[in-house]
Formats: sequence, structure tokens, C-alpha cells
Amino acid sequence: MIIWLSATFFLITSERVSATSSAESLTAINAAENDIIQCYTAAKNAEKAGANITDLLITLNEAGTLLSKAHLAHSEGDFDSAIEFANQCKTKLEGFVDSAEDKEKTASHAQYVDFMVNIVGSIVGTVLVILCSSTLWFFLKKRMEKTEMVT
Amino acid sequence: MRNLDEYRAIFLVVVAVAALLVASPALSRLLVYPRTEFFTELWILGPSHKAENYPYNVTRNQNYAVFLGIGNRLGYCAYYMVKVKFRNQSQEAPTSFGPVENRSPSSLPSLFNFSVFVADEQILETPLTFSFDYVYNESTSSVNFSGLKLNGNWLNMTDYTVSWDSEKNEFRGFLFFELWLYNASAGDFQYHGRFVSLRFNMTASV
Repeated sequence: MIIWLSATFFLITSERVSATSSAESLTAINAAENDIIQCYTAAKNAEKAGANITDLLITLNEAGTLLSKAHLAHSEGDFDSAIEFANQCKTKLEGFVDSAEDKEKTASHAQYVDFMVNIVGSIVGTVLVILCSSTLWFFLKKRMEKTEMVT
Repeated sequence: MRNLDEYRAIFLVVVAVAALLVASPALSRLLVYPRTEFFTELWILGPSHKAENYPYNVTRNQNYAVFLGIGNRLGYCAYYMVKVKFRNQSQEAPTSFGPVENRSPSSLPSLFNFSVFVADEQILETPLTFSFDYVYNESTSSVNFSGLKLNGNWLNMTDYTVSWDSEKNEFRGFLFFELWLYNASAGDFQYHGRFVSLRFNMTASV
């Protein structure tokens, strides 16, 4: 009787622990997935602004590998490892969004400078070259006419 | 003294050349033919990093190496997911022809998923090392799998079997890699209409 009661208690307890671990594992995995999506969006925005995101993608790919391992561990019922991998993934992505936003700001500024120098500067320069040349031509022509009138 | 009008042509040429030189940075940015094709490349290479010597006659627990490559030409940094699946000769393969929206993935469950982030106009090659563990069942004349070891990860394949193909005289199995792309507006991965496959003959000692 005691053995039967102990076994039943053990089964109920272990099932509850297992269910809790599974839920915890899923929560950790979902949190890591959300972090990855957030970081990916930040990296994508930085790339759109013209930033070099090679180092950001290395970090993202490493985090992705850890998340894959977390999924695999969860599917095998190894919830502790799943939580561990998911947490490692989250740790890997700490400070990522800030870094991506910094890169985005720097790239946006560089793109603005590039636009001002290479597009606006170039167009203004071209107009100036044409205007100055025309002015010089008319100035020289007038001077020549004056010289001819004197002679 | 010569008339200034005689130099008009030379003057105009010099001005035109100078104007073009000054305008060249703007022209180089404005006169660019826009990209019209946006797509992803997916390939698989053999152990020597060439399209040759792909593993075919597979031995139990023997390690094989291939390279899976993804080239992103989508115009933005892409978040891909590669779904690793296995099928036998009687199970359907995914489709990779016709309009992308009409292509369908395999309905088989994936053994393993791994995510890959690739910047625009960049490629990423992932080395893959794998081995199969299986036994030959003489009574049913089939190969029964117990697992696949992929890059050190042990993947359960207990429900997978390959029957003898009397036409080809082999135990034919296919390890294939489906490419899925993260769709930010849908908030989920969608089949990207591409897959690569390795065909094996599972050799069995009787």
C-alpha cells in the first residue's frame, strides 16, 4: 500500500514537474525567438540605412544556432537544456539592438553627407562651372571688343 | 589679333568636359539601372567544395560532408530557415517549379530546423556533416532508421523506413533541405519555393 501510494505520488509529482519544465522551456524559447525577430528587424533597418552589418549577422547566426538547439532539446523532452540554450541565445543578443541602432544612425549620417557632397555638391558644382564659364566668356568677349574699338 | 569667336568650339568642349567631370559623382548614382529581379540562390556542394563526389552509397554510421549555400538577392537582409527532411522513394518531394506562390513544401515533418541570416548581395555557406544509423530488416526487406547525426546533433528517425526498390536495385532515400523565408508582415516563415536534395542508396550488409 505504501509502495503504491509512493509510486502514485512520484508519478503525479514528476508529471507536474515535467509539465512545468515544458511550459518554462516554451516560454524561454518564445522569448528568445522574439529577441531574434527584434534584432533581425534592427539589423535590417541598419542595412537599409547603408550600414555594414556583417558583424551583426555573425552574432545573429550564432544566436540562431543556439535557438535551433533549444528547439531540438525541447522536442526531445530535454527541457533544462532547451531553457539553457534559449537563455544563451538571449545573452548573445544583449546590446544588439543598441548596436544596430548606432550603426543605423552613423550610416544615415554618412548617407546624408554622401548625398550632400556627391549629389547636391556635384549638381551645384556643375551649375557653377557653366555659370562661371559663361561669365568668363562674356567678360573676355567684352574686353576683346573694347580692345578692338581702341585700336 | 585673332577673334575670340574662333576659340568658341574649344571653349565649349573644355566647359562641357569640366561640367561632366564635376557632375560625374551625381551621374554615377542617378544613372544606375534599377534591380528588377529579386530572388534567392540555394545550392549544395560535395565534400571537395565542388559540384561532384556527392555522397551516394551510404554506409551506416559513416560521416559524410557537404556544403549548403544560400545567396541572397532579395534586396534586403533575409532571415531564412532551412528545414532538414528525409523521404523515401514513395513519399512526395516538395515542388520548386512554377510561380513561387504555387510551390508547396513537403508535408513530412522536419528533422531539424536551422536559421540563417544573409545580408543583401551576400552568400553564406554552411558545412554539414552527417551520418545515418539504421538496420537492415531482412524479413520486410527494408532499412529501418534509428537516427541521423547532423553537425553533432542527434536526430530521431525511428519512424523512418526505406523499402527495396527493385527497379533501381537500391534502398533509395532522399535527404533534402527546404528553404523558408521569414515574412515580417505575416510574422511567420513561408516556404520560399526552393529545396536541394541528396539521393542515397542505403547500403546494408546481410
